Amino acid sequence: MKKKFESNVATEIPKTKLHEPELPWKLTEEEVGQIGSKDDDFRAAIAGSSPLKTRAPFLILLVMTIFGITTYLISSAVMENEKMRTSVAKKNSELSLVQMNLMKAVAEKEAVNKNSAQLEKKVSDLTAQKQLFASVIESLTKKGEDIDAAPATPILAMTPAGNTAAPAAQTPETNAAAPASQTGPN
Amino acid sequence: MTTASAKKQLFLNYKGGTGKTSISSAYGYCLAVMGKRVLMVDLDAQAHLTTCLDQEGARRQDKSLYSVMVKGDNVADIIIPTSLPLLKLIPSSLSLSALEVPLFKMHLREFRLRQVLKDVEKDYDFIIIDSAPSINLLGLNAILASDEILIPLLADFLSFHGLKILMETLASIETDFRFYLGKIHIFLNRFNPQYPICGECKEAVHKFYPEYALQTVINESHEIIDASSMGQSVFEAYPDSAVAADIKNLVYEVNSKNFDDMVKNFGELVKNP
Repeated sequence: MKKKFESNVATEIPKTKLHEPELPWKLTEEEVGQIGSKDDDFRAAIAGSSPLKTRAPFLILLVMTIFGITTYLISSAVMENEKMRTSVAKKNSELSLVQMNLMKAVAEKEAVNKNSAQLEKKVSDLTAQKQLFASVIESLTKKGEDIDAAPATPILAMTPAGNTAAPAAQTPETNAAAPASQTGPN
Repeated sequence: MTTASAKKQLFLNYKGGTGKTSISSAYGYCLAVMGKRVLMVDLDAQAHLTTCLDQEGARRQDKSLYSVMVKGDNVADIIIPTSLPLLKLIPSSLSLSALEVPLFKMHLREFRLRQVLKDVEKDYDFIIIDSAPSINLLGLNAILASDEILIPLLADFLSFHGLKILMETLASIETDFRFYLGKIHIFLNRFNPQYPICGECKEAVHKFYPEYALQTVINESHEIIDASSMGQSVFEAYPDSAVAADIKNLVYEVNSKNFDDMVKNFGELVKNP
């Protein structure tokens, strides 16, 4: 009968928590109790006292944090302001440069306009002179043709006495001097 | 003394008639008499634990463990009182037999009972679960929900063979779910020292399962059977019987580490609960 019991034993049996590996960080009951008593001691110690005393490091840390954040915000605002000011000054200098260039261009334009007016006047004078010369040349040419076509009479017989100097006054040399006196200093 | 959350103890054996229900009802009653807040959970669709605690009417109520586990009803709504103020019961009904199918389709189906009991475990010192004598999903839920497993064993060869199957099943559950079960306690029930087989069986249990075998045995007696037929606990019907003392010893041995503050004058409390 005993043999039958022996041959009917479970080949695998549950390990259960008896064989659960002990964790290195597992706390014992005593340690948990100690932690609890420490907590109680601390609670008793801080009961009725001001938070500044009991939580001084926390408060100091809080104040330092707030100070740090405020300083950071102010300094970043100042830096931003400075940057903007620099940028505005740069833009102003650029603007004045552009204005100067503009003024220069305006002056140049005026000078060019003046020059062009003078040149136009000169051109008109020259045109007028050209027309005058053309008319003189035409009249001289016509006069020459008339002389060629006239009968061969003595020049002295045909011309009145007072007119002997007139042809000399109408020579091209004297005619050329007349328009020159009309053109003026231009 | 009150604990942060209840210790969950499961009476388990896949073999029928080993005394799971009768001993678990007396065990829970004993704890409640000792001043512990106890919740009994009947997981057997036959609802014999419910009957043992004289709460047969609860079998016909609308809400049951089925509606809690499947429909998500509040577990506190199905807990009913018993004759002892500290002893409460989650009754069973035939609806539990139909639980398997909807449970099988659910997410985390093996841990539903664990989740359900989590909602009330703060209110009790002990939760005693009486499982059905079958291998099913509800049984697996009970195993995974419990902290300790109590295995009542008849002192004969077939029960010993059933124990082999049970232990191998529990070992495979540990492997499959990759966790360690809580303590296991094996104790002999209906022990008769006059039968040689009982002695041999006891010897074999202590030899082959030394870490789990308890010294306490529940001796064969008629009182516990009579008490259940009267709808009373053996502590009510036969408080001075030998079997009552055996169950008390079982309570002490299983919970020895947690019972330093246990009530000394237990006898008086039984008489005046």
